[in-house]
Amino acid sequence: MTQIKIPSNRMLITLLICMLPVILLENIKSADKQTFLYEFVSTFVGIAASAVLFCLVYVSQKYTKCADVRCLYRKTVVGSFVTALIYCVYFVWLISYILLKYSDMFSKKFNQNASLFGIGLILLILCAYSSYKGANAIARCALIISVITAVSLLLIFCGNILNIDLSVADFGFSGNPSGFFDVMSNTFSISFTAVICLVLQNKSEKFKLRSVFVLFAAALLIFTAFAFFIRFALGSYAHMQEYSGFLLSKSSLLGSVGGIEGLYLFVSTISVFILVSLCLCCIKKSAFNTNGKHYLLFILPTAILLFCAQNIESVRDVLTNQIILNIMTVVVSLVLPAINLALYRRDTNV
Amino acid sequence: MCKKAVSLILSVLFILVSITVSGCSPSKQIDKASLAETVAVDSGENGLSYIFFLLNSNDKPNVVSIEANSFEEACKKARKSYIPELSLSKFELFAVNEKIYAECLQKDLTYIAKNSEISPVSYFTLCDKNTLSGMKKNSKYLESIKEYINLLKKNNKDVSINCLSVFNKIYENNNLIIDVSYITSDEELKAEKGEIYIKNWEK
Repeated sequence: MTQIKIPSNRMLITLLICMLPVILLENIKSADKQTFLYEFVSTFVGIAASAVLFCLVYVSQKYTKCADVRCLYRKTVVGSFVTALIYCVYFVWLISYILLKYSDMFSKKFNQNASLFGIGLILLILCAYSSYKGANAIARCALIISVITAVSLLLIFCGNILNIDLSVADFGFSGNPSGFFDVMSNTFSISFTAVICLVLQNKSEKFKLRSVFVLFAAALLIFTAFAFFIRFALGSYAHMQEYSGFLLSKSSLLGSVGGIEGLYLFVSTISVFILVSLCLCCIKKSAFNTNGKHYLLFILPTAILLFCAQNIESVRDVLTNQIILNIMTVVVSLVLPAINLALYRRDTNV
Repeated sequence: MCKKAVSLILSVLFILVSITVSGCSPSKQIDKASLAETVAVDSGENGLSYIFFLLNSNDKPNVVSIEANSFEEACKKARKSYIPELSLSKFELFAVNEKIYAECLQKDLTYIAKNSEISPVSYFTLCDKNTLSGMKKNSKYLESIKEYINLLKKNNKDVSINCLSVFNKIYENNNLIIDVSYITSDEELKAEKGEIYIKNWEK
């Protein structure tokens, strides 16, 4: 049976949806003294770094013509096993990272009695079912979801137009290095899409390089739009609460309808659902590369991590640490393939 | 056939687990009478008096007055003794007596800003004693006040009419006089430009 490949445009839209949780679940309190231009530059640097990483992954795929992520260390059984394990650990970590952020937002903003573990587990089970249907089905869902997401985001922005106050705007360039680093680190975290692409690359049509730039240009636009509205519509009010995205939706005013936080919850939930489902597909591809259900075993360590994170503060801090995630992303997307190229250069199909 | 049965069983089990884990059992019915639509601040016998106007469909408002030093304290007291299921998710108007705003505005606006339940675009207004008395007697006063505030904003673009803009203007411009809405009802209900001045807002 011929495997149907995901068209590259559909894959692009799916990856863009996967980037949304990073924006919507952002919990950075940008420094008071940081101007918009400073924040824009740090956002741009973070996204540019992600785009460079993505391009390097793209080029390395072309160079090695490797159809399977496990072919990185196919010479030995141990090498193949260790590589698969590293990628699976990475995706389990990414899933825990996103589910913890989502559960934290849900419990703080919508239902304080909700259990972090309970919310995470329910989503995980739903995503397990969707991942069983395959990456192609998820990408088709993402196409429909992207339309609803675009409309929801437009409504949130339009509802805040009347709140924009440029009289307090400072269009200078000033800020502090820690604020720059925080914003840059947050925007760089969208580079996990490069790893997803690396793993699923033989299930999708090959991107053209310009598609990568379109993807990250769209991401930059969405990040900048959020930063603009949070700074000029919410102002200092945004520093008083966590999850500025939620606050932005709460302050939307569309005629007599005030507060569309339900749309924010919907968009957050659905984008987390797509991302986690895709990560589970990546685990299936990395470890087993069959149509079996064995990859679902990885739900168990994820659930254990979520349970530990709910009860032990230090576990939660480690799992939601952006710097650790970014380092892991660089290792699995660049360092491992680079080592493989260095060791097995003569055996690659160049 | 066997596979279908297994899928069906798993689906049922999944639905069961979802309902249980999501915590539907301790669900609570939200009583309409617990939704505070408006809060007014007036001087009380021992400090400040926070008047909660609860959502109802009668002509006479459902009012609960609580003596407290701040909005946060008033909410805690309300939940403890007077309105156990108090919800501020329908909060629309914060009205403060123009004579006592300096005593409570900073801490109350800060509490509103930190509270995820309260919409940032809830109306804010100063008012006189007559207006506060009128609000306690007639539900239609509250609707009229919101209309007058909107009308004032249409005619005066620089007036801040919601908690978001008042908070931002005070927070970002220390020691500045801010134009806000001021509702009077000497002979009839009227919305004018009022002023507030908070010296040295503690950040």
